Amino acid sequence: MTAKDENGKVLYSNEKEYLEIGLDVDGYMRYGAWQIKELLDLTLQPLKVQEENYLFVLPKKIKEANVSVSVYYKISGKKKDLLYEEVKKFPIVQE
Amino acid sequence: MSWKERIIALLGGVALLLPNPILAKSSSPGKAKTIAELAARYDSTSCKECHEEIYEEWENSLHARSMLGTPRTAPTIITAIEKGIKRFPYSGVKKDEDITVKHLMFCAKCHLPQLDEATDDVAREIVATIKAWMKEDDDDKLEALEAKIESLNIGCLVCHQKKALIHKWADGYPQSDTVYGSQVGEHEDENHPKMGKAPALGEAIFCGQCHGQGPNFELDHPSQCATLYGSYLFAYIPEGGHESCQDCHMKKSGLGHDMQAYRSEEMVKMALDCEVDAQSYFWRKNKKEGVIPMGLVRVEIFNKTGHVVPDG
Repeated sequence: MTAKDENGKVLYSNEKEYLEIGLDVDGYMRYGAWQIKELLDLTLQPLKVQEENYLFVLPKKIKEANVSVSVYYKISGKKKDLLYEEVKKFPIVQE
Repeated sequence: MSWKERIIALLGGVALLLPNPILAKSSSPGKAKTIAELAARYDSTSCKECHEEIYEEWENSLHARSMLGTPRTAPTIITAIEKGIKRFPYSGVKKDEDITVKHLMFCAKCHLPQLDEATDDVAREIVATIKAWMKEDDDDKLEALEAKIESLNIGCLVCHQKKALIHKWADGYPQSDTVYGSQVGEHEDENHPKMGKAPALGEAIFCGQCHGQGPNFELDHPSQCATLYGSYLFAYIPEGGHESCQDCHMKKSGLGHDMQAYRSEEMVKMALDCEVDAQSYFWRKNKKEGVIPMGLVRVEIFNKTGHVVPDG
């Protein structure tokens, strides 16, 4: 998820990963089939909604921000396929 | 032992050596001794003559290259051997010459289940072929090696014969002259002249034989790559899910035997719904810093599939 100002300057960026097998208790990736222990399930569960909230501070005089959200399927290393993308403009207005 | 008892014992021994007509009819043709022999035994090209559309769908699927993969599978098998099997102190494998079918079933249980009908020489030939393919620079030789690896796959006979019957005490054991599907009767193929019914072929449990429940405890060293059917049974079904793997991956997607996952646009559309909502806040922090604008972005991802995402 990335938020930019009208000039394209990145105001905030964050990402969340959902992992096939997950991390062990020491935080190390465990992809090997023989590493069957102490894994956390960090997948998206079937028929469930996963909600992510990103709260961030904006510059004081900003009038509008562009938010883009991309969902990728990562295979290995740097290879990833784009599954979904949405770009939204939202005004920064004090009521 | 009396003479009479000796003669009876001798006759019993001779009887054991004679071919049993009942066993001979349904027994396997013996272990395949080469990759070519195993590939020929499970070759799908003869099915193409009558089932052309299905064959072409299958040809595009990863089932048609289950050992080669995208081609990520073949190198991963080598990694499993080099970084896993060879390092395990009790595997009995220190070098490629030590590899047997039993060791390779760690991967082949799902990627090539028919390997259990081959000799240990075939297991070693597979490893040598993949390694040669990984090193080869010459395009022609590379292509030939790739074709050899690709000849080992989840073809028609794997699903429609070898793995077709799950509840064997109720439905019987797969016969080498029969292909299994939804009908019973004659089949216009001289090698497989009969059709038999496979009651579970359209059910999720059928796919669960390979796209499994996690650790394969029947192996001396359980591999655990496939977890989809476990997720289907223990997460999707309890949430009220009622569709089968075949419903989504074959029917609704319109892909038929070209069963796909995240690489397919159709499957991606069916898999996830995403919603993005953004709004601004004004936070009256303190006198010094005053009112600070803040952004809140809410992303919702609904997993519509019958299993966890992602999964291997």
